[in-house]
Amino acid sequence: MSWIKNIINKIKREIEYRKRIKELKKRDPFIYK
Amino acid sequence: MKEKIALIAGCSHSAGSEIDGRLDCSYNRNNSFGSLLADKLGYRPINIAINGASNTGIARSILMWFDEHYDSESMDVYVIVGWTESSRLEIPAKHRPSDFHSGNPAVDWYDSSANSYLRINYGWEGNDPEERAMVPNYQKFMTENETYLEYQAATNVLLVQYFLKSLNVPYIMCNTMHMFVPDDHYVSYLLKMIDSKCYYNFDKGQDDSFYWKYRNLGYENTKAKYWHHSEEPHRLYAEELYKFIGEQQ
Repeated sequence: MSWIKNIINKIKREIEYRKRIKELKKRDPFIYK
Repeated sequence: MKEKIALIAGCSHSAGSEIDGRLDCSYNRNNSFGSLLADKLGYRPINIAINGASNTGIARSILMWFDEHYDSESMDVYVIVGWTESSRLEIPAKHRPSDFHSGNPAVDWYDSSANSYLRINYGWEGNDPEERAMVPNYQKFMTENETYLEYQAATNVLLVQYFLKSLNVPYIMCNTMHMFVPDDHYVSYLLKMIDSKCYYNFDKGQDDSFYWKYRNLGYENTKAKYWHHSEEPHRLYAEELYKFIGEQQ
């Protein structure tokens, strides 16, 4: 059953990452060339 | 008699970007907080700030300018540094040179070493297919290593402080965007070594940085497309810095 736990943890980490990068994009939204 | 020069380094906020709606022009640079502060201090401003610069790029531009121009016999230099968002990365990429000079036509001197780097921040997705493939990987690294990037920002600050001290060159530093979480366990070791007498509000967090402070106070530049401030916040910030310098003497 450890593979299920691994998948669940991976999904949790991905959700956490997407939430954080959404916040951080507001802090520094773009570089203009 | 020595020439009195104020070297102004930083990102778009130090370049006065979009004060009048344009990304870069002499009017904007002349009305940036750094140039206004230079005027108050009696120095001729040389503004080498570049739109979108990272802190490693800012530190390097100072070193490069000194390497190329500094002459202690003929110059009396004062350095004004506006540090930028600490998460920005510069990736060595000389196989695909960048051109940041054309986007900064009013810069007083351009550090051409910047052309060998690719710049990455949180919101930028890349200009071409190769960049768009590379950027998400770096952004993932940035998101998962915020403390590491703030630590690197602190090392850039220390690098420039010790470099200028070694030449006995006076300076003032400030944050224009987010730099540090002041009470971070790892970063605080380095923050203790920073000379706070020459660094305005260095340990007060994002809300006291130039951009966020005046934005939170309600200042809005209707001419700006990329959320930069207009004349008034620059004027007020130059006064803040001038007052701080006076208090430290």
